[in-house]
Amino acid sequence: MLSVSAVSKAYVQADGRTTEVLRDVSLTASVGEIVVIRGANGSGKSTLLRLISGLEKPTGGSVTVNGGEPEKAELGFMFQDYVGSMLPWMSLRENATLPLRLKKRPRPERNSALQEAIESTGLTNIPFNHLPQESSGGQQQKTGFLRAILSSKQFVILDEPFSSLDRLGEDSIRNWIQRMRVAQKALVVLVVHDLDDAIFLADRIYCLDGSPTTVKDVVAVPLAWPRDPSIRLSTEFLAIRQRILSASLNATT
Amino acid sequence: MKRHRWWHIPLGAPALLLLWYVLTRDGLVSPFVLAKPESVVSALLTQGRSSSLWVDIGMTTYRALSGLILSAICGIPLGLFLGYVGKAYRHVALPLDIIRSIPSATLFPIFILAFGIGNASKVAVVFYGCFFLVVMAAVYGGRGTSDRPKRILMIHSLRATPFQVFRYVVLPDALPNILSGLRIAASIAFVLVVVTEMFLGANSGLGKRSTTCICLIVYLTCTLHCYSLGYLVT
Repeated sequence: MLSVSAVSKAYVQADGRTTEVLRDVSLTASVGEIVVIRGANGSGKSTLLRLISGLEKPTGGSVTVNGGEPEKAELGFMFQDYVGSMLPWMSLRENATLPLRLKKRPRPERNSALQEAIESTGLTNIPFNHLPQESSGGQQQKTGFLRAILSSKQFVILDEPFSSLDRLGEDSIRNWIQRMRVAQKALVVLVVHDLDDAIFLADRIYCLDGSPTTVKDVVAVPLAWPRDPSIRLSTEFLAIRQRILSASLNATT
Repeated sequence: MKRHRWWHIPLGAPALLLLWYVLTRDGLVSPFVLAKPESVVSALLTQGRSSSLWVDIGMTTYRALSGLILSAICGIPLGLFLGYVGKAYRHVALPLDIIRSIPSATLFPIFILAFGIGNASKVAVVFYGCFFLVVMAAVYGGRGTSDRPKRILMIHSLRATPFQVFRYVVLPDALPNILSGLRIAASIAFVLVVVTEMFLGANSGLGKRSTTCICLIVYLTCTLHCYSLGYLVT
């Protein structure tokens, strides 16, 4: 259970001025739900994710995960900057299994857990023996995803997970998210820019806008799970799409 | 597996030997300035038979490495700390720069007064000469590359302990800087040891042997020592 209530975040800049990034943002999600956060570039989505994951403290309001402090909760975080979050001195295999290494699991266990994760996601074509700089952006992004789910499958934060994946990779991650939703075991917080993807994967969509950023709209997506790709053409889907588009049109004008 | 071709063999060393041979062959360069390679080899064969050459090499290496290792043990943690905690470095930057600008050679008298003329003073000179090099290299390493904050954020998301953050991100990030500092310090260590052996008084060591040889005008021996020194340094 994730609860973000009336959170604000301000940064003190080098010249001493403070910039308020988030103001009065509230968000809740429980296990078995998928929450999508949308907003323009620089609207504070990644900042909100860092507050949710306990990597930063809010200046006002509070964040709790399962009733406790967010920094104590086990978490799988897939970063938007998948290249910068790789350790360049480790192979992709070591990068993916780093969460288990930090938990002092022996190597055979780490490798079999990775194998299991590969099989359950269907992510292929990753050269695990290569260093990150010897592999492509998409391969590093897939590795970042595997690292996140090897850290935790219960509480997963995915920051633009599809940005450099091929079609097959996108489908693998989309299907994995959907399977977790159907199994009702995970809480997934997702940032995606593509509106169709957002509606397809969400139980609820939080639309962020403004400066400082506030929650402009919360859109529930009451489509049944599991969702077939053809649902994108259904009238309910298109109605939700219409609603979000017109709201964002109003926001920018 | 990479295929090996003849042009992959490093050619620098054979080329240098050839140049040496050509320069000395017909007396182009006087044998007092540069001895012939074959004379050096025969000197090595003669002197290598007695144990004293090896004792000298051993003593010089022992003193240089002791000073270098001591400076690494003290300098690397201190430098990493100063680089990582930027505020701490701001306070010590000026004193550090002042102290490290004093050449070790000018401190010989002080080291003799403090540590006598035995091994301790020679190791202390090496330590002094290497310590600040190692500290400065570790400071730059500890400051980290531009991607380090992202990596630290990532490993924090995996709930790493402070030691794990250091072990898996901060240290590997700083290692290239630390190693290049140590490499430069290693050459300085041998230079300083030889100088101390020449001028601080010693019973053994390559520096001591060189001065003795100069007195005896056995030039070949000197050349030999210079080459074995060059080999040790690299």
